[in-house]
Amino acid sequence: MMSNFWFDLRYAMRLLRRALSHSLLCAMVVALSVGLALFVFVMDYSIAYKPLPFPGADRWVSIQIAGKPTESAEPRLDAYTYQELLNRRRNVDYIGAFTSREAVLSEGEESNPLRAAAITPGLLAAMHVAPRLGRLFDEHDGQVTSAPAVILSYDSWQKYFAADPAIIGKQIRINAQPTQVVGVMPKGFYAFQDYELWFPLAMSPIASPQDSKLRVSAFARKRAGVSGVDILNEIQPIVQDVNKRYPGVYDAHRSAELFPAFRIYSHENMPIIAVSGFIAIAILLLGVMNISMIFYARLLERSRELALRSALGSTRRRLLRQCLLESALIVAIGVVVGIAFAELGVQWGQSIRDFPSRVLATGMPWDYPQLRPVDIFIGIFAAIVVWLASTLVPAMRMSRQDAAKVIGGTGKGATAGGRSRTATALVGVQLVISCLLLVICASLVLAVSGEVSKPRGVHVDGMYVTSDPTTFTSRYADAKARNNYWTDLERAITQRLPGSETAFATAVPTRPDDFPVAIEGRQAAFNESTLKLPVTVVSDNYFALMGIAKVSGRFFDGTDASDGLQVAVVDEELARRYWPGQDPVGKRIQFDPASNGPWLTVIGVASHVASEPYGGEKGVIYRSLRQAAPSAFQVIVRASQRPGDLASAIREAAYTVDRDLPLHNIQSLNDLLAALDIGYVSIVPVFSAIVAITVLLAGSGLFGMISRSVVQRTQEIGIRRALGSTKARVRNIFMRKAAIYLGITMVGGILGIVITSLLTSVIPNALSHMILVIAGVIVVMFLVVFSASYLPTRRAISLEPGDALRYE
Amino acid sequence: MSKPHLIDLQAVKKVFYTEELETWALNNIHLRIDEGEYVSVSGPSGCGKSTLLSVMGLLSSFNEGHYFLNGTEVSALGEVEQARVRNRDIGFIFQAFNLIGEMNVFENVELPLTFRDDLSKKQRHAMVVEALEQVDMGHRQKHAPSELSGGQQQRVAIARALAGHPKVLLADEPTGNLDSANADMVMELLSKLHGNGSTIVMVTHDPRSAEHAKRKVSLFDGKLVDDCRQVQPMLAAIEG
Repeated sequence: MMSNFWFDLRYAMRLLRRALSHSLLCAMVVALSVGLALFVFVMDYSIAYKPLPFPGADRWVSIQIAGKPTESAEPRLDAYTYQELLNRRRNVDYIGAFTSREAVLSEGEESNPLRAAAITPGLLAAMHVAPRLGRLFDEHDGQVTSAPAVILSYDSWQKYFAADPAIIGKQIRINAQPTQVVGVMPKGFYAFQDYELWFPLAMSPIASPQDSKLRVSAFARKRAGVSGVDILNEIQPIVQDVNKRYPGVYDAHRSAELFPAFRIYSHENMPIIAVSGFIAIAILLLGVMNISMIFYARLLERSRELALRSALGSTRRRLLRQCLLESALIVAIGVVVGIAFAELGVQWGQSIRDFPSRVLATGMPWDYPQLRPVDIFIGIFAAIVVWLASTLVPAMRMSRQDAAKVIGGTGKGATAGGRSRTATALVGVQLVISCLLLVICASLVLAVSGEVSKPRGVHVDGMYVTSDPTTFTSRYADAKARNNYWTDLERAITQRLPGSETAFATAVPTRPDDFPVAIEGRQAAFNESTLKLPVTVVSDNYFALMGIAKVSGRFFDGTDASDGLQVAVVDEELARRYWPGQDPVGKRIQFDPASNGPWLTVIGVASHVASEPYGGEKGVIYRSLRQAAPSAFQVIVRASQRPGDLASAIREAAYTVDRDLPLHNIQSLNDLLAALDIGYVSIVPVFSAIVAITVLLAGSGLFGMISRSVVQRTQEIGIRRALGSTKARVRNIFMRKAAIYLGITMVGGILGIVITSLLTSVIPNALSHMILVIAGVIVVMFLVVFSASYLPTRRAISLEPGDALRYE
Repeated sequence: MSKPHLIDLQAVKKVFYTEELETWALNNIHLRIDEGEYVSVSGPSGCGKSTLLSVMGLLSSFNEGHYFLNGTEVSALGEVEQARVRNRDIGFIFQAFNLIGEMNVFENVELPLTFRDDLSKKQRHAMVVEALEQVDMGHRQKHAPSELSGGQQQRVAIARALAGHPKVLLADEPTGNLDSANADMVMELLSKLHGNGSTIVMVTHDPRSAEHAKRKVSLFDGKLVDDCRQVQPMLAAIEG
């Protein structure tokens, strides 16, 4: 039995070697389709389906808030609403929250910023994770009056305390105050983000929303038998009630949304995840059809041999085995190469995740993609599906052929009609799928690449910036102390980096946060009660350093004293929106009207600085650093020194000014902006690769199918010509069919437009290049379909009719 | 109990339907062939010779009648059983040799034996060598078919038919693709095999080849019109 199998296998390998180029083409089709599908699966899984690593993680949901119906939900719940949810919950098993906090660990001569979070005291206990050392937080730790306490991650315990087994109870210096270590978490513990240290979140009761500016990421744990809908039905009325009670603070339509906890940051990407999953399946289908046609053509060439086997006593099952064996070898090669392709793709995905983690110092992201053994099994399973779907039907057809007819040569043309109809249907389906994929992917590539490559409107080269804001400690409660600190820091940096220029801002360019503002005299027109606009606080020299031009009025200078007239500069985009056709200089804006914030007088208009991709071009309001004296800041330095020297020089300068205020993670502005944009930027190469693979698969598959169907009709062409048809008339038959095929492409195009339109919630300009895309797809398909029809037709009609009649 | 006929076709009819036409390829064929016979089937083109051979070889089904092979009604067998009969009881020799170019001589002869699960590799090897020795091709085992002359290729094809020790050899125009010298050699080989006890049914339109057979059967328009051991009166056959 086994020796029979080896006999068949040896023969299959021989066939494979004999038609090496054909075999490699098939293997490459399998590799591309399986590799791409597997890559997309791994990326989709890591982003949107990977469960969090603690017991019962599937019962946790992230409570998110959409500030307005038009805004997407964010995991940032204000302290008051969180307090209301906590106090008024009935069926929710547990509600907890965390918020990222700065933590500067000062040990000896070194100060290190750590990734830290303040968490509600019961959160870790609710996750059912036991500490490696010490204890978890208890309710006592969460009281404002309690002594400062922290829990360390395993890695920070190893890295900063050399795995000191007696660390529990020791006092360490965090944020310039002695803090007691109460616990160390186990290795690999991961709670929503890769934190190195946890504080207890002290929340004292607040009477109104204005009493706290704290924002938290809130979570609920479902009771067994309670669904997410039940929880939403419980918390939604609470949120709506808060909205109603504080109409000046919250939009009346503010609502809560729930997402699985592991999708806390990725739920917005679900349309892209769904479409990419669909694309992966479509590519697999394209591959199946492609290989199916190639294998069928190959089996047709072997029809005589297969008939002979049948005549010699081979059963149909044995024939099937022989047919499947050859394709199995090809698919096996293809799947190995495909998995290698997927691994390369995943490595690229890892680099895409590593880059922002390094630049933004956010630690290991939970959605770090990895090709696991189970993924490889899935890849092999997909390949088996491709193999069986592409080979089984043609192989069964061949195993059922009439051996006597084939050997006797009397079956010529008997099945041509059926074959032709099958080929036409397959061409049609392949055209629709190809067009659909090309329309979706090309639209995304053009839309996103246009958005991420728009001019930023600021100098970027040669600029360095701290990736995270540095928050002043309690020593800097006074605005004057903060202003003195900036002056000292600028001087210290200039001493170490001669020729450099230093500016300060509360946000990097293109990324200012939105704050509530009111524009004088415009409340009615803009529903100012909830108007939020980008605001950034900058030092006087910020505009010159960043290359932002003055359009009218003036920028900040020494005359803008901290106790003088509160001033603002707006950019031209904001000016155009809110004072169309007017000079904004002299107009007034109120900052944080709900808290009765200061009125700012516009003194100048600056050139426009682009927002982050898809951030919406709302413009920006600049406030004076001297006047606003913010509690946190970022440093921007322009210098010509080498990046490594420059970063250490800036850190040293900061250390000399205040060792408890280290500057965080100094990066080039180019890298920082690239890291912040990486989510969108990475769409371009992925979908470009899909476009290229689709063109390759569709081009080869369609060309093969169409040209083969024309070649199969060579005898018919001979008959037509023998009966008096002209060459032009024969050519027209095939050109008409080509035109029908092109008509079918429109079906794919329309489906592509429909699916692309579903993505506009994530990529708002996804449809903006549609005319160009459709035109491009039609041109590509025209070239494929007409060349596949015209070239073999020309060859067939160039034959003498007699030769065409004898054509096999 | 008397020994059954090796081949026993009873009132076999096979019809081909086209849109408005029905063509009787075999029309009420009664034919019995006993073990050890050497039968030639001849007739003009399109008379049904090859169809008859296909029916006897279980390569084609028929519309009416019965076909007994060695006493078993093989036409009623399922696909797997029919394949088993083709493999073990019937040996095919084709006009166009039908050797597989990607296999060498040995592998071509071994091919039908690999369809049997009851033979070890060693047994297969012995049977292939024996068959090749019978046709004097033992020295060309490793050669590719393309390296052989037409006559040699047909001898390999005969060895392939013989290798499984079938009950009957069915030859379809075995000399049709050969020059006269090679044709004579093949016919002598078939005569030798018959001399050694093989049952042979040969379709041919070549009178010289037909002369080698001990019994001559003629077909015309799907009907049996001449047989030295006719099973029905010729008149009845003509009248259908």
